[in-house]
Amino acid sequence: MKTNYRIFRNNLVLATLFLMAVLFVWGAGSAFAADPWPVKQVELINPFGAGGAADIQARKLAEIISRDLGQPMIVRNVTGAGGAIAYNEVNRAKKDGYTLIWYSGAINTLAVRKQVQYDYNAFEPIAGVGIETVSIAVSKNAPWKDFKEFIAYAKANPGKVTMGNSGMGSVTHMVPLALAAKAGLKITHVPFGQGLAMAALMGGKIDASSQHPAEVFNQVKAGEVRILAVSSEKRINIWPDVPTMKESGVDLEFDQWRGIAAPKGTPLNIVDKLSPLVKKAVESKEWIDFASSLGSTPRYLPPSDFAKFVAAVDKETREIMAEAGLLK
Amino acid sequence: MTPRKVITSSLMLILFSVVFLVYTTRYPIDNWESPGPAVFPLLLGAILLIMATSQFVRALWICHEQPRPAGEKVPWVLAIQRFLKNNQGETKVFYLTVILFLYILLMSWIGFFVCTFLLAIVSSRLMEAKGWVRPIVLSLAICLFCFFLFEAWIKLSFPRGFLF
Amino acid sequence: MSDQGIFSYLLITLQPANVISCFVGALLGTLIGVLPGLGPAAAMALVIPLTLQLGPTAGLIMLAGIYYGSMYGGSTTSILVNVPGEPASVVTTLDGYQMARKGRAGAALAVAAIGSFVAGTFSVIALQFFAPLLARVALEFGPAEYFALTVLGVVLLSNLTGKSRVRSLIMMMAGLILSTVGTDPIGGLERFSFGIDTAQGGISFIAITTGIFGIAEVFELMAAREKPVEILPVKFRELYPNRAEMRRSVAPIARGSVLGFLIGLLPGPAATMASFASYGMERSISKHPEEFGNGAIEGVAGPEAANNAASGGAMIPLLSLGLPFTPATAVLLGGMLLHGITPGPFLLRDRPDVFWGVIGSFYLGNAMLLILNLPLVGIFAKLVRVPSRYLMPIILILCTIGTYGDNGALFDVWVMLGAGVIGYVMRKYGYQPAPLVVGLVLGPMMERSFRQTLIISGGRIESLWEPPICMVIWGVALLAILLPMVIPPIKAGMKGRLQNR
Repeated sequence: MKTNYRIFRNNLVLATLFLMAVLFVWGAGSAFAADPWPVKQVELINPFGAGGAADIQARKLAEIISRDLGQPMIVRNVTGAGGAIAYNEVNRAKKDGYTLIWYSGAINTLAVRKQVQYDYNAFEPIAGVGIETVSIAVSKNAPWKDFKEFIAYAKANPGKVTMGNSGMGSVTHMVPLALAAKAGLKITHVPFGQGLAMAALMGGKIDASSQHPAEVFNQVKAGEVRILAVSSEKRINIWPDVPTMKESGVDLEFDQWRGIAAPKGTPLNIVDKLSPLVKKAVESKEWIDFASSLGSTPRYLPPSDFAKFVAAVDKETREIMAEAGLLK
Repeated sequence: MTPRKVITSSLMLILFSVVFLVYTTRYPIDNWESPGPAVFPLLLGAILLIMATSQFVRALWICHEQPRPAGEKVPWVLAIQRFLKNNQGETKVFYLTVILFLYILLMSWIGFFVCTFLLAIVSSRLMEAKGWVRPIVLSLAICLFCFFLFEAWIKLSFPRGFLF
Repeated sequence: MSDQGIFSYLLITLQPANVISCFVGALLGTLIGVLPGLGPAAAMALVIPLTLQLGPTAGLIMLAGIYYGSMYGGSTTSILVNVPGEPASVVTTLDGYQMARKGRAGAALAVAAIGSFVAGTFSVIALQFFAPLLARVALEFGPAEYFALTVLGVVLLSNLTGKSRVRSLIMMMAGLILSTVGTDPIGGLERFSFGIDTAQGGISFIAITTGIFGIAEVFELMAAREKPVEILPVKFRELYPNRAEMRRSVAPIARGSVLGFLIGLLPGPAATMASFASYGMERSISKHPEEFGNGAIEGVAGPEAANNAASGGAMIPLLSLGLPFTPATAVLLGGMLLHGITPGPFLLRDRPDVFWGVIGSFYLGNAMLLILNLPLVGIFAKLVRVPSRYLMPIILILCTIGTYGDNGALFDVWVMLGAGVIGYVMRKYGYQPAPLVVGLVLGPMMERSFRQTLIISGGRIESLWEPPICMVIWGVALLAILLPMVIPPIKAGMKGRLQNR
């Protein structure tokens, strides 16, 4: 009995060692084989928290792309420091096309504020996915009927109007900054985190809040808050009655943009392979329906156009920051 | 807890809070309308300093009141020997700290799972495990379990080194 | 809607596919909760792709199962090996681990499971009936109120362990100071990061707790010159709480459920705060406070009930306003949006199947978790008897994996080692780690709301205490400071008079 047990144990040890060896070979094998990209899962690093507007879009898009990619594309959240940590990680990652960034306006503001030591030039744009407008929300009981009245009130009472945003240096902060500069206002900016600005607005702690549609459309539908204006070029599908800022007499157009990028130096064949897949996904009915329901506007951009677009936004961001005295 | 321990730890805390306060001054305070990033840390540092100082003063007071117990005089060689003997456990803690230090340092070169495999064996031996078979089997089992659970199934990625 | 309607919708949960997904979610959640590191939010985010294939009702039921399951599982490692499985279970280490060392691990685990079940069920009932009303109350709290609440937390919880109050406060300040590392929540300026990338995002809470509890515990056991008392094998009957233990747990579970539920309505780390607050309350109203910290069952029952009730409370702002106040409910919101469902006041009208399906799954999930966990108690309680020379390496590895897996940053593992060494030295010098954790949890909310209040009011410092709710909170805090100073002299005076007579 005892010897039986010993033999069993020795065999067990041998078996596990063998399994381990197989695993080593398997692991090493996949690393050296010259298979075409992708041979393993592709990671899309999202700089923002799970569950937010950026996150659910990344997850939905990754799911659609995965169907054609042959390998899963998975979203990983690397949060903190307004996105700087995620950008640093992707910037340092191997340039093999397995680590991508869920690219957005954060790169512009991070670079301008010198929170990262590089700018958009450190990334290889793969595809533009769409733009997301910024809306100015007020409580249902707010005294202002429309955006013009709001501007007039803010002009008459400099510094009195408190406006929440989802963080210093975020696009939801850029828009009120630019608005203040363009319309000659003085607004008090109050940075909040995810979800909390809306609670403060509904509880009457702040006068207005600058939000992406995905974070307020719920409350708008419920009649808790009203939207005075959106910052995009055209009105958006879910709110056909909400005017743009331009229509309301403020010459401002500034959106959040989203896309996918890889660290600079990633082989071009990977970019060329992935970009059409993103195009197919972005132009699919499933994506268009999903994105529109969140108030975001799908717009595919090929790598070269996307690069030009990001450069233009970068210049604009720098101007807004300079005007607000936030340039470092 | 002996007053001596209170005094040394309070002194450490006082030192820490002073350094912290000085370091914090490099950040802007701004004004009441928009308090800067230095305000909150400055408040915290100040409270910590006050607390630590009050504890320090109180401990000194107790020390002052209580006469020191007359310690027997021992030659210092003996004293060190006794100290080491009393703190045998401490040396083990030191060893384990060094091992963990090396473990984290080597992780990104050799690879997470290989390193972890070695760590489990070494630390098990350090905890007075006898023989090699059991620690190795145990460590193998844990590593395989963790690999399949975390890396293969939940899809977290751990550092890979030149081995695995 | 008629009761009949509600009932038929609740039955949706009992469809086989939904029962299975509830079970899988609960099991996965328990597993995630047991393992240190990975919290509910991270775990839920990981399975979102899986739920997308299940369809809305089953998918959301699975997500909810994970959410609940991880709250259940968190206490296991706290009790068995002094390593909190998730932040809300930190306080369970204080008495749960002491109970395990006395051979009552089974009792502690069972009481934690029963308390979680009662609180979980209570919070769903409250959620079902009072959600819209309570959601309005939650909106009354703004930055000024949050700041007052965090100050009250510091004041009340500084007496958490009942040892030296000054040393507790010192540790709390240390925790608050640690929480200021990283990007400043208002201005976006980097503080105390010394050029380290990961530190920009702040010091990882998980790295600190696994280090200061788990690694320090390994050090402690290693340094112990006399080997720990061999715990005798226990009979099956003794695995579970005896009558006296059950009787002592009833009131704490009830109080913990109510307290936790109310705290759960507020944003921030609600579940963690709820468990700490419940512990503080049980200790201060207990007739034998000296038992706390040495294995008082009330110190396990109350907090474990509170943290589960809080996770139910946190569902209210999500379901009735569509506002996520915690990271875990944010992921749940994300999951709903991905399935094309918008939570909010109209959820009940538009998708009653989903609303009641989720509510029903909470009832079912809680019952399922109890059934799942009680037999596990026996298995886990036996783990305590694994010799430490084999158990300790396992703890070391799980701590490392949990810490690394949370963010994928090696820096966090370094922080864990540092926290372990400092935690070990701290214990030698008689400083308690629990208040430090409280500070670390409260810090970001405290600073953020302090500065927001001043910004909103244009720099009027009175705005910190002017709103009526704030006045009440500040009043309670002031009483909590003054009473311990005033009462002993009065008591002494009365005694003196009695003696003089």
